[in-house]
Amino acid sequence: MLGKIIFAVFSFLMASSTSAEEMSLRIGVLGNSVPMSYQNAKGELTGFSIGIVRALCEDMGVTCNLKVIALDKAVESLVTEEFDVVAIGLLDTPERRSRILLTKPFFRSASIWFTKHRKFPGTPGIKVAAVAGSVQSAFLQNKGWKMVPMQSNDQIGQMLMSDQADAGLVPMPTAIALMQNASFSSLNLQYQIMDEPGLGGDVCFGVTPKKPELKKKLDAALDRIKRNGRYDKINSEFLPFRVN
Amino acid sequence: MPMLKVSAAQGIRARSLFLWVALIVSSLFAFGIGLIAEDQQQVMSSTTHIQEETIPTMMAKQRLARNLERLRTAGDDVFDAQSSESRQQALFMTELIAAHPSIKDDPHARALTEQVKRFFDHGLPKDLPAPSDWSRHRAQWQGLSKQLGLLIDDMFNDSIHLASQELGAATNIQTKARYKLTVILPLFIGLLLLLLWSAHFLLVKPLQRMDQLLAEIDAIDTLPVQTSSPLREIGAVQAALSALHELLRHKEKTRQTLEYMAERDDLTNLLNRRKFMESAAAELNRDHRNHRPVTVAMADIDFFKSINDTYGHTGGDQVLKAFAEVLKQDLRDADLVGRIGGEEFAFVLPETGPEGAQRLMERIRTTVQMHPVDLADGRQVHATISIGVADATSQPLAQALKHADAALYKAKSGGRNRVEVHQATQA
Repeated sequence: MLGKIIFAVFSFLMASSTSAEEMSLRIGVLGNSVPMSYQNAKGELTGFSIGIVRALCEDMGVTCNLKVIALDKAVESLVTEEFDVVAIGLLDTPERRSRILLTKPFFRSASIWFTKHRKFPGTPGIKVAAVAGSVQSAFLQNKGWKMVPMQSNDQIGQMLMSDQADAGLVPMPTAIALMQNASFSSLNLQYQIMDEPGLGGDVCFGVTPKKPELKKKLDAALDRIKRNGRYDKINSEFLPFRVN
Repeated sequence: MPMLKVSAAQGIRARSLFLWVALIVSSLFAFGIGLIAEDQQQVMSSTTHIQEETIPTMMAKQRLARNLERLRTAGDDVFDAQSSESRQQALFMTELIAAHPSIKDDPHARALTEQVKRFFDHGLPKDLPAPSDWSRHRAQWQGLSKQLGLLIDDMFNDSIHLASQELGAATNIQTKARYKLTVILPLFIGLLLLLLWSAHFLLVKPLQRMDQLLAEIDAIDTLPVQTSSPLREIGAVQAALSALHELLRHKEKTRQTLEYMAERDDLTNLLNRRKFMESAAAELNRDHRNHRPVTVAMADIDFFKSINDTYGHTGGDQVLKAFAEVLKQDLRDADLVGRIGGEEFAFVLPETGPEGAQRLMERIRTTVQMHPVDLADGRQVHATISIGVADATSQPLAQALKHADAALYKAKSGGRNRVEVHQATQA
């Protein structure tokens, strides 16, 4: 009898342990994309995307294990199930939808074309800087324009001033952060807002295609934090206007 | 042997009636539940709509209002900027907000922000220092800013209106649901009471009445008239009850006939010996207990064997029957008489002493003597009787009869056709 009780308790503890493991999510994030996902002076991950994904995890009652990854590895890491979620602003494109699951949009964005010498889209022979793996780089490749790859979007000023690139194409949140920087705004760059398909629209988190239930839970949690005001507080903390 | 005959009952079958009632009640109940469920569904739909549609729409309007306010601020910053960088930043912000999809979703906001965008793109010099007519541009901007402010107010008002509209709709649904419940609940209670009332008056009460009837039923009383029931089963039980009562009465009548026959002498219809002795003992006990006078007597038809021999047994029987008729006429109701032997008769005369008994017996003797018996063949039989009387006031029945028999013997010995009273000194 005592043996049965011990076995039952042991089984319960094992089950609880398994359950706790299931309640933990592996989440890939960017570490250098101000103001969305970056490391602050203390080395802590912060930003709009980080705030939102942490709020989602808290709402769902799960533990988030954040790990920095490169943007060009984001989709592949979900396909291989290296991560459960990629908390990176991924523009909703057919290519991405064919490979991974996308949550409901957590904001809406556009892309900003910066140029120093008024070399706007369509100018022949221009070199345009963009972060590898981004929709901006994909857009440039589709157009057949020469792309100069960047490690991060904050390199654009340097690229333009050193004439390594004639223009740079960055996502809206990055452009906001860059323009709030006095040294960048003092460059007196010309800009153009581009919201055509492939450069603007709904921005989502990525979810591994192996866990469709997780996407549903994330969507429901996103609806809840939008309703309860948590989303807007995070929005105000990192961005100057409502981006949803 | 009589059989219990029950006529086929008329009316509605209880099973059918209650099946229909149950069907109607359950249908109404289901209908009511359906109405309530429909209201619940509407409340849930309304709540879901508020959660999934109204609140997000309200928040979208508030976010739009917030962005329009931010656009006003950014526009003001353009004019208030102290440096080229600041103005550049402010202009960038105005364009960015104006181009954001959240602004474009709303037609009014889109139209107004298009004006703002045109104003900052084409109507405003971008270089510093500000030209002399800067104040004219500022005035134009203030006009646009005012329109933005009004639109912001509209957004907030729309948001509040939307909320109150939805809440009003939800309240209406709940009010309707409450009204329905107010009607349905008493209806349910009423139907339930009706069902209970029907069951009580159609089933329980008739059964109680029949139970009472069964408890009190006997073969003597007339069965009370039973209220006719619309239910066939109750009617059948009532009919069975009436038939049972008839059967009981029939059996009682038969029993009484048999009892009468068992107690009576076939020929004279007087008490037979067994019954006479039983009744006499009871009478004497009662009289002794009440210290009342009582007398017994024994009579014998004189020369009865000779009568039988002369006129045959039929003649003898006729004499016996005639004597019995005399006794029935002359004796009082309280007196007991029985045929205890072939031509021997015994009497108990309550409330009567030996003298009174002697007078009574003398009258009987005289009547017998004075009325010859007419036989069927036209002959007449002149019969006489001898009677012995004995006081039984303080004697047991056997002893008193023994004394009366002794007196009878004395009457016989004394020449017959006479009445003798037993004397205490007599053996």
